[in-house]
Amino acid sequence: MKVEGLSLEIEGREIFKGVSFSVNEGEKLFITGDNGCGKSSLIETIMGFLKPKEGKISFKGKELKREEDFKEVRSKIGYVFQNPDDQLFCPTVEEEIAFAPLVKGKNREETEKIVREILREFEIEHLKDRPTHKLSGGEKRIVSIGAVLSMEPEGLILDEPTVGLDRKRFRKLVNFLKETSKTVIVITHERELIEELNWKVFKMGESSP
Amino acid sequence: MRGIDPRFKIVSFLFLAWSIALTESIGKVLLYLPLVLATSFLFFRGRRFPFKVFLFADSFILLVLLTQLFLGSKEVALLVFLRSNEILLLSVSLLSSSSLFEVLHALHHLKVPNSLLQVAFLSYRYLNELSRKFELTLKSAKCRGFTPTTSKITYKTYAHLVANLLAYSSFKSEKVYKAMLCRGFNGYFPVFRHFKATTFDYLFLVITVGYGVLVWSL
Repeated sequence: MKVEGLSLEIEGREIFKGVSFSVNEGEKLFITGDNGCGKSSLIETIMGFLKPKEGKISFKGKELKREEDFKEVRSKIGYVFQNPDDQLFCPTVEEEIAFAPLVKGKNREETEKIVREILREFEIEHLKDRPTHKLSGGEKRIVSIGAVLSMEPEGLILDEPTVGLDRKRFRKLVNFLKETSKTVIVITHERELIEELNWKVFKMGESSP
Repeated sequence: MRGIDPRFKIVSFLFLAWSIALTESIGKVLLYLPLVLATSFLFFRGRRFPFKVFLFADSFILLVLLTQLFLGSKEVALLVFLRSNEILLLSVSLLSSSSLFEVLHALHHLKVPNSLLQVAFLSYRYLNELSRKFELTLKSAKCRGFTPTTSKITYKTYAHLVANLLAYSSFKSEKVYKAMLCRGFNGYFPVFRHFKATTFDYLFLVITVGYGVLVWSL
């Protein structure tokens, strides 16, 4: 993915200007920056939800222009929202994780396998039948990551994934991020995460990494 | 009662409620009572009876009852009272023994249009959240010294809270829609866990509907 000279304005207010960075397949990147510098808006622009004022976004060498192009990006890149309450809309944890595989047309056996693996991977089997809106903040966060992973995306964008996680779940997430071979972009302020993973860091408001 | 397939419970409820509602004689309405009490017994076994729900619901028919008692016929008043409470008891014991999602899922299998069910589910899911948000904002206002009175400032504060809630719900709906798109939503809401009807479910349907038909044909 390549972002070149991207600028965004909402209702005449400049959100960010001249943002450029690139992430190659399998690469990992942290995006950091001050509050309100437009990190989440940058991701929403990449996913095609906000229209940039100027600049270019390319995915796998192809410039993204039309809604169809962004649809393809959304089907290949899993985006974990900053607020898990925005992400979870299914009645139970199990249905939430099964949503993407079923929408993609996977059959029941395949979906069952994916759901079981994700529940086991994040140690949330006990939450399987719980309504998503009744989970704790940390549980919602983990379920929203699991729900996105069930899409089997090629890449991941995680917006503040460590907020609300206890130590055990934080470690679990760190280990997952260390081990995954997927392309990953993480927006975070968490110094411990940045120091431990030692990935490339792109600070919004500074020049490209 | 919780173990019974919600599709069978809905069919059974609709048939019994329809036949009770259309019954004109007190004798026949009373004949439905053993079945209604049996289902209620199965549902309320080991749990508290929701008297408040019934009092609240009965307050709606109070006017009809009083009008009939004093200006019309006592038999009609009794008939209205019995019919409405039997239907209410049936709905509580048959429908509220399943979660709202199960009921909507069952309605989908009973060919109710998908878009209606999606709206119903998302409304329930997010009304719940909006009500929580409203309570939280009100608590926050109270923590900052707000005391509701009949003053102008109280009305203004409530107006702000409601306006805030409207803005929040609009923002929220946009976010949720984006999240749905990101996960491949294409207008179809898939369901992972489906119902499996057992012999017991069929037996339940045959008994309840059969009983209804028997009383109806008397």
